[in-house]
Amino acid sequence: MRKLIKYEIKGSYKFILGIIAIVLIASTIIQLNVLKEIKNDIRISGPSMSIFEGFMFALSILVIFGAFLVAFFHIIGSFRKELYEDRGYLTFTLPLSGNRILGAKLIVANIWFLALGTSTLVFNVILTTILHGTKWIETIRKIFGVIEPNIIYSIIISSLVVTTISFILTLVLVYLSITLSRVSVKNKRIGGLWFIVFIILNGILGFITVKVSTLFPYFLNLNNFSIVHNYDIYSFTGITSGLGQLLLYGGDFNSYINIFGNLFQIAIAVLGFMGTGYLIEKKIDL
Amino acid sequence: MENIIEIRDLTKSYFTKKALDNINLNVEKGKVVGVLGPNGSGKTTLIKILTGILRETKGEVLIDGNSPGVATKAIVSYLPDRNFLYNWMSIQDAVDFFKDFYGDFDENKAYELLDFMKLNRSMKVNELSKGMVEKLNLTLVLSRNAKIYVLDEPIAGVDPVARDQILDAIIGNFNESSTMLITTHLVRDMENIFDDVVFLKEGKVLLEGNAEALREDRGTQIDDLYKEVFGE
Amino acid sequence: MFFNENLPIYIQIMNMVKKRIVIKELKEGEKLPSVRELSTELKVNPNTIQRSYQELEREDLVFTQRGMGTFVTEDIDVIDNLKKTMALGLVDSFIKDMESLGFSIGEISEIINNRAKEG
Repeated sequence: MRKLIKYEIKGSYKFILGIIAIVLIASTIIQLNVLKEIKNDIRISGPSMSIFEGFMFALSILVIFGAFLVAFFHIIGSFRKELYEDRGYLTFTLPLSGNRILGAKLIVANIWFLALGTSTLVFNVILTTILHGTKWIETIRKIFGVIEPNIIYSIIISSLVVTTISFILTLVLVYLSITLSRVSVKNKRIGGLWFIVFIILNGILGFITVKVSTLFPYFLNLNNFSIVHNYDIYSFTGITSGLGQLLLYGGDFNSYINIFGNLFQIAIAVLGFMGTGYLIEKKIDL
Repeated sequence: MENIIEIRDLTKSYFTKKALDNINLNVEKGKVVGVLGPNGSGKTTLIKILTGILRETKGEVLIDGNSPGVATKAIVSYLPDRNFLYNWMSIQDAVDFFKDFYGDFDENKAYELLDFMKLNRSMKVNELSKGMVEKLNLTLVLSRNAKIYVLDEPIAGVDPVARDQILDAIIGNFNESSTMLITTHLVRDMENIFDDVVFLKEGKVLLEGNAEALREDRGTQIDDLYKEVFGE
Repeated sequence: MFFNENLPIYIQIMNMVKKRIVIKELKEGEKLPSVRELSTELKVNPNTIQRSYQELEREDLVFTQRGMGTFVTEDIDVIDNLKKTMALGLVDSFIKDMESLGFSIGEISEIINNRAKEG
């Protein structure tokens, strides 16, 4: 599987680097505009951004959004190509199980999204520091000054864990949908069929996830690893926010991970993965 | 003789159409078998089932005792009837790829064959002509010391010089421990390299046997027999 | 190489080797090309070449030395006999063709004699 990952990366790194370059350029344009805006505000009040600059600003935001979208479809497209294009004749005659092929695709997809996200974040942080100095660090320190560091970590970690699970589940469902539409409709490439399958699958599973989460509202407190009932969180802390029912941030800044909801998501991801691996190994007709 | 490939009652249907209709066939170890038939006769369907990228509707296929799967893919070296290399690859990348995934791949043999085919390692796959692609793919496939080679239309659509190079490479690769299954509709160009031939027509085995015995019995070359059978 | 006669390939290859021996392109005691060489040269399955050599050996025209290869017989008489047999074969088929055109043996021999006198 490591070898397949290596060749997957080799095959797509140029494209991803291109996307990253576009995102970074667009970020720079936005940041420069923001800087100009701030300076204008300080000197004189009045019309600050020209129409052209406004256009570039809006365009840059669109470009970043678009670039992420293109990257997403390119990365899942690389799986789709295996099922519909001639390269599948090479990939699926390798002495590798379906799970390994799928695993390599999934890992590379995660690597690329991580690379995209991290490079965008790090670049913008550095650029902000260059343009505005280190004042922002002070500001953030002040905001977090009122909260215990432990709690900050638990917020970050819990958000990461829950979003990662959801993200991987989404990818698995996309791969499963592509595979299902390939297996069911043979020898014909119907454009958006997989997307419809995905929307339906995702809708059904999302509904069940909410049901499971609300039927078994037991949460794991990441700070002291105690298990608490929904009722306790509400009554003792008061809810401030959350990611659906899967993760709650209590009024006490503690984060609470829904145990059954997230276990259900993990179980579906594992089942979806195995199912897709089985289908591409045993059921695909190229 | 030991059968390395056993095919029993093999049927492949697409909705109502049968691409393969109750095929029974054994391939002996060490033999070079030509699967002959016009386009649409089921040659490629048969080969895709043997290489594990197409599933049978009915029947059974055993390759060295196993159903097509991960284990058989490790011992079957497959040349498809299309360019299966990834578009971004250079020839060197393709060699590295085969070396990484196939334990039976002989890198030195690959470089020798590349020289013989006059292919430069730095060339990009997507810049090659049809004949060059065919030669590169064949180089990679033959550089494996595989138990079974499955070549789908290895000389279709290539010029006479490339065709001779390809035939030479195939013949140079013969050895008693490996078996070759080759499909073609260019019977005249290839018949002399077959031990056995199988005629496929509309998904059925029409005729099979030792090529020399058929020549002796029928008093014709296989090419003439082919024309007779398929009425070309 | 295409084999056009309606005979098995191994027989056509035997005939080719025989001709080479008779016209001394392959001299007595000379080594024949290896199975692999001839197979590549003629683009023919090595098993077929192998069979040709075996049949030639059965006819005592060649002999095999273990690990050395296959050689043309050193017996001049055998080669002379081969030459005669091949000549008879040609004459026979010629006569057959002529007879199919309606000539009798006497007429055929007369035609040949006349032809020989003309030089």
